[in-house]
Amino acid sequence: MNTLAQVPTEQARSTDTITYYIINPHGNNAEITWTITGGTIVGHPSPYTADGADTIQVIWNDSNKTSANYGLLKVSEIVKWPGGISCPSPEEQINVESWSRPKAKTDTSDLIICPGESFAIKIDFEGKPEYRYKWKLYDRDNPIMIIEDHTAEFITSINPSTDILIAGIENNTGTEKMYEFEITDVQDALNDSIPGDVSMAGVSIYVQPKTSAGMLKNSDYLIRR
Amino acid sequence: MKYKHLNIKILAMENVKFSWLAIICMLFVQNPAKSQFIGSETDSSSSYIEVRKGSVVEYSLEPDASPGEEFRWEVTGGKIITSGAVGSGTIASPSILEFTEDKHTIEIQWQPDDSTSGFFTGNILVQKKPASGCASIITKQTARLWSMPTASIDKNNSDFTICSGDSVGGYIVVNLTGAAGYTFSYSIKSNGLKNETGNAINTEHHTITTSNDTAHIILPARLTNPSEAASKYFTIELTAMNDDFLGDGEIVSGREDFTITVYPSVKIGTIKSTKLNRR
Repeated sequence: MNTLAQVPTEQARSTDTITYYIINPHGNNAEITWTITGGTIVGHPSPYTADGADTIQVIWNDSNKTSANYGLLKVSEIVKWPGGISCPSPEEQINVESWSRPKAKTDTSDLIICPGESFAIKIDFEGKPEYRYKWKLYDRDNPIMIIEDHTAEFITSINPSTDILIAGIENNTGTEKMYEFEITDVQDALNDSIPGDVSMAGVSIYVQPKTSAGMLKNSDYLIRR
Repeated sequence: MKYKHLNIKILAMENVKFSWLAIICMLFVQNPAKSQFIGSETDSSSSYIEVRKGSVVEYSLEPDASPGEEFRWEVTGGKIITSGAVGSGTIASPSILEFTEDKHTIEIQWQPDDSTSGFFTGNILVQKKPASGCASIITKQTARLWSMPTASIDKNNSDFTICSGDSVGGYIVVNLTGAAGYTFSYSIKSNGLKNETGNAINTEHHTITTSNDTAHIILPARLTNPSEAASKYFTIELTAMNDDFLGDGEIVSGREDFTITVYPSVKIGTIKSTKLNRR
C-alpha cells in the first residue's frame, strides 16, 4: 500500500520552492504520476510520470495579493510487480493555499498638508490576513526626531487595507517642512520566516508653513486720557 | 490636503466626498446653522481694543486681499452688519460671515449700550483662505465694550419742598457710566437762599474725579429763604461728564438736575395790645 505524507490543506508561499514526496518502497518498480493545478512542477510538465519519481519540487502560483491561490497536487502510482502484473494505487491529493509574500505599501503618495491638519495614510497589505505592522513618522531633516513611533509593538489589521490616522503636524518654521512616514515591518498570518516587503511603504509629507490672516485694523477705537 | 500624484487625487476626491457627506450629516444633526473655521489654531493678540457699545466700527485686514482669497469672520458681542452675515452675535449664536471672496473688510455694530460702568468682552475672529494652499491660522482680537460716559442724578433723589429754615442735610447720588476714571461737573445755584451759617448761597461750579461709579453731592444742613413773598430755589445741575477715554460724555436727559424749593419766610406781625396809655 502506498503512503502519502500530506495534510488535507496546506499553506504555502508562492515565493517558495516546496518539496513534496511520497514514501516509495518500490523504487523504480513504481511508475509515479504527479499532476498539479495552480502551480508548476519544477523541471517537469504536468502531469509528470516517471519510474521512482517519489519526490518533486513545486512552485505554487502567486495569489492575487490578499486572497489565496488554490492549488491541487495529485499523485498516483502503478506498481509493476514481478510477473508483469501492474497494479494501480488509489489517487492521493492535497489542497494547497498559496499566499504572496507579506507586503505593505502605501496607497497614498506624497502629501501636501496644512499645518495642524490631520491626515490619513492608507496602507494596503498583501499576504494572508491578518496583518501586523509597525510604523513611524519622523522629521526628514532630522531623522532622529521621531514625531510618532509605533515600532515597539506590532499593530494588527484584519483588513487588507487600513487607514493610519495621524494628528496634525505643526509648522512654525515659516517654510515648508518635510516628514517621512515609514512602515518599518510587516507580517501576515503565516508563521514563516519570510520577511515582509516594506519597500513601497513610505510617504513624504510636506507640511506647509503657518500663515496669518493679516493684521486687524479698525476704523475707530477708544483712547485713554 | 493635496496629493502630488494623479492616482492619489482620485483617492483623495473619494475621501473628500465621504468627508463632506460626513460633515454635512454632522452639521445637519448637530447644528444646521453653525459652520466652522478650518482648524482651530488661533493667534490671539495679548492686547485688546476698546470701543463704545452701540458703535459701528469698520475692521479690515492688512495687507489687502489677493485675488481669490476668501475670508471668514466671526464676532461675539456685536453683529456684523456687512451683507451676508448671519447670527445674532451672542456666544450661542455668533455673528458669522462665511468664507467670502475679497471680504477682508467688515463693519461691526457692537452690542447696544446698557449704561453700565463695567466692560463686556467681545471677540473678532477672522481666517483667510487663499485660492490654493492652506487656510491661515485664526486671528483673534478681543474687544472691551464700554458704555458711553453718562452722569445722572439717581432716580431716588426727587425734588422736594421745605419751609424756610428747615433742616436738609444728607446728599444726593450721582450715577456714572463708562470706564472708571470719571470726571463730572455740576453747578449749585440759588436765587437768594442762605445756608446753615446764614451765608448766602452763591453759584458754585464743582468738578469731581472718581474711580467709583457713584458719587455724592452734599446738601446744605439747612436752607433759609429771607424773602417773605416768594419761594426760592436751591438747584444742583450736572453740566459735564467724561470717563477715562477721550471724548465728551453726556448728562442723562431728565436726570440732569435736582431742586429744593424753599417757601418764603413767614414773619409774624408785631404784638400789639389795647393797654391803657398814660396821658
